[in-house]
Amino acid sequence: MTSLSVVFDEVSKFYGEVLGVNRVSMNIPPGITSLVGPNGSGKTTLMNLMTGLIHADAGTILMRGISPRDPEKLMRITGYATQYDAAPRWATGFSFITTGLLLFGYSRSEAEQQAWKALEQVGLTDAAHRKVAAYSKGMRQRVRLAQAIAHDPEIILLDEPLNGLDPLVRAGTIELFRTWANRGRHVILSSHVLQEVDLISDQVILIANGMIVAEGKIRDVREEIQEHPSQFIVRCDDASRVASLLFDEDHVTEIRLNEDRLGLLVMTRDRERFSRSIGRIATNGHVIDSIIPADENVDALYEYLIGEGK
Amino acid sequence: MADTVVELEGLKVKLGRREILRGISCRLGVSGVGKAFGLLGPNGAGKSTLILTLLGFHKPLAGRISVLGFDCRTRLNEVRAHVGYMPETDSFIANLSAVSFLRLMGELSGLPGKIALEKAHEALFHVGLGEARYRELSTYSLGMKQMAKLAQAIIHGPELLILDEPTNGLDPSARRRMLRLITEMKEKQGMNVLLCSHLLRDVEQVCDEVVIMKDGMIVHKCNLEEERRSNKCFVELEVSGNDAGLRGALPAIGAEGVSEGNGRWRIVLPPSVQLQTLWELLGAQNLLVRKLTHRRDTLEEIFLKAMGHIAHTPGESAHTSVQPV
Amino acid sequence: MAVYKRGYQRYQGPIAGRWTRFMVLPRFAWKRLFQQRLIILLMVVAFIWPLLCAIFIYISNNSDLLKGFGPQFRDFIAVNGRFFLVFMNAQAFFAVFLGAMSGPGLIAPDVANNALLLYFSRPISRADYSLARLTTLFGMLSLITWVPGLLLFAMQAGMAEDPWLTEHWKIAPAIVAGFAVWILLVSMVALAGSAYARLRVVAGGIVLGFFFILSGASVMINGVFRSDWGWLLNPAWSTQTLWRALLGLDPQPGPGVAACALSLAIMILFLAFVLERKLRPVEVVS
Repeated sequence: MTSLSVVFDEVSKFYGEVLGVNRVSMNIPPGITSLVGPNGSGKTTLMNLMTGLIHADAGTILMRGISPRDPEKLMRITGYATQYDAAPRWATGFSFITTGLLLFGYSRSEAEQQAWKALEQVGLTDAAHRKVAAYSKGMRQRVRLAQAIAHDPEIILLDEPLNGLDPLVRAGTIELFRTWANRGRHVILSSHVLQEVDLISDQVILIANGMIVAEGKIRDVREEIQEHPSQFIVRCDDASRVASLLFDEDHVTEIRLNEDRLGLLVMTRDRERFSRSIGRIATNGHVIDSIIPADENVDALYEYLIGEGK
Repeated sequence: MADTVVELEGLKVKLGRREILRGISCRLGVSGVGKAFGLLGPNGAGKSTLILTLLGFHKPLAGRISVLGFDCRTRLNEVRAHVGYMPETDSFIANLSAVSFLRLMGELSGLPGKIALEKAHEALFHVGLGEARYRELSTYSLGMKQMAKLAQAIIHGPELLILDEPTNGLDPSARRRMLRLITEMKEKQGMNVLLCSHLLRDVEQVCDEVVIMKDGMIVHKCNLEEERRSNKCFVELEVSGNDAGLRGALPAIGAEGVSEGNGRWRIVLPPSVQLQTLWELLGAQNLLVRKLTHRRDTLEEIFLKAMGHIAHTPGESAHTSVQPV
Repeated sequence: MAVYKRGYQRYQGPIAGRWTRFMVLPRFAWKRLFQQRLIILLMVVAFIWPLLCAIFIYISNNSDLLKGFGPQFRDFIAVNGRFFLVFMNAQAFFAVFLGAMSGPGLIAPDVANNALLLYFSRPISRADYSLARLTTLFGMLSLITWVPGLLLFAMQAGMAEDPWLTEHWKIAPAIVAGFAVWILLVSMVALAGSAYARLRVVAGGIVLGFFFILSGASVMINGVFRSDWGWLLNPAWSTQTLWRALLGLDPQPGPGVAACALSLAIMILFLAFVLERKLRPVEVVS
């Protein structure tokens, strides 16, 4: 059912002359979706548009069939963990979340129950009754997450949610994302750590200069980019020999020898034929130690589509 | 005789009423040999406290702590003259231009006036702030401020560079540039780098050795170079084609494997079996290899092991009990 | 022909000594301060009275010129302790304003964005940092206080006949010591204001407020309690008493020199304590 998607249709947003996003169209199914792009590319603008904190200048937005111009309905099913702190100075972790829940209309006892559950999920039960102002960076990050999920929303928006978390908490938080995604929720997050995006995302959206550059499953996106031949890193004992054998194949466009002469970077137009060639070489008396596809990850996509250019 | 870069002996540090560092001993690095050391640990492990004690902001309760042969308690000025520090928090002087700021920092570190000015420009170009160097720091974006912080840490050519979460908040291009600069510092300039970060991949990419802390103690110290060269028994495979028969065929060559679906396999090869044999088997099974790597403990697993969260490397289980596909 | 690879090179040369490094902060600060037009203007205005004093001294030592003036005027420009007291009072007034203008930009920018962390990771201690900032203000304020004061004294000593110097030699150290105390006080207030206030205007206001408010408060207390002890709350008043004693003049009615010195010392120590608390690069939260 398409009304289970987050849909943007030709959405533009300008802050006076300053560009937010420019004619953005996208269709996000449930699951974990990562927004990737340089700073200032429009990620936070998109999130603010999704929650109705700002309104688009043009285009329509539908969040699982609900428009952000209907915040009463939308905010019930949406949770937003912003990039920056927003807790009042007087608040403890527990009171911060409870107060937010009261605004939803929960009774006090319900609100306290839900708040506690959320705090358990992010592992902040020990510090729940301390003031948020005294929290460390990682704890503040987690309390923002907790407040976003306390009302069990269907759409969870997270702006750089893993920032400042140590590896253990990171892993635990990623588990949480996975759990929600498996329950059919939308988990939309923005991140700069591309290797993590690779591991956890079902889909990825690359945005630069206020425009969507690519959208979809990572491998699908990669396959669509024809201009760049596929890259493979091959580790072997006699690199020069293997290289000359590969050069004979016409699907190979470029080969670079590694400095230690024990490896190659091979660019090929046809992955299947490359696998066949390398299989042949491996069984013909050449020791092929390892083969690694070098560019089927978001890092490579980022470089191809967005690059260093500004 | 070359000095150890960082030497700790029974170091105890107490802040307020809590003992944060509870007796650490460690020797890192050799002066003049450029290497990078990762400092890892969960929040609250004492990493920041350790760094701040190295810089003399905290006084040790007991034990010795010295940098490049200088005791941090008695010869603090010399320690600070040879160390460059890039703090995690935002740190700058708003109404100065980058050049003025760097000049000030350089001269405070002991660079003669004219040289400080030269080095200010050099350092700013080097970190990529060349075009913006005459602008006030308050106009800088987050990424630029991080680079400015790096520039002030390197301007006086320190022997030890202490970086606390240097890639914090940087977008992918800037992160790449930062990691490249850090690697350059150790490889081309011969500096020793102490990198404190939660991003294990950054640490994996840049560091040669890793120290893992927990609850004020060092729980693990390892040399990543050696880890990378360790045994090749575990193989990670990704094939396309019909791999239904692979599991049954593996024991024929003395190997065992577990399928992870989608053509992904984890295979254990005993040392007696050649890789070539595996290739031949795959060819015989009409499978095309998309990926074949040797698994060694990634830093994440080393970390989790050190924290006590996992007992042994995943994949070792493939050796002891093979699950049905 | 050769290709020169010039990029960042690690500096491996000699490191400057402690005092050179110490003077870096004052040098940078002075340069920035003297680029501000208001400060230069204030300094120029602050030199008007010393200039007039120089003219008075000249007239005073030239009997032909003196004849043209009446006895009241001659009394007025007689160069003695009282003459210099008036001078010191005038310059002290300008010193407060100069302090209020130069002070705010010294520490506030460092505290605002956590730059202290970067300072103290270099070979400079907190004491050095404070002293360096103090030195900056001392330099500025000295230029309009005891420096012209001593010049005037030297001028007078040179122009007057012999007995004057042997009778009035105590004035010279009085000028230096007296101003030193005042400069110290004004500087400490300015630095404390700079450390605590984010806006320069507020920091400047703190300096002015310190003196004017305390002066008003002392008058109120005297009125309410019908005593003289309220004067001790007014640093300007205490300093007056101190100066009068140093210059060998009659004391003003009220608490004596010892009490005044003590109250000034307490104020300065209090400000030092308050300043030290703000200069912590790392906060320890227990």
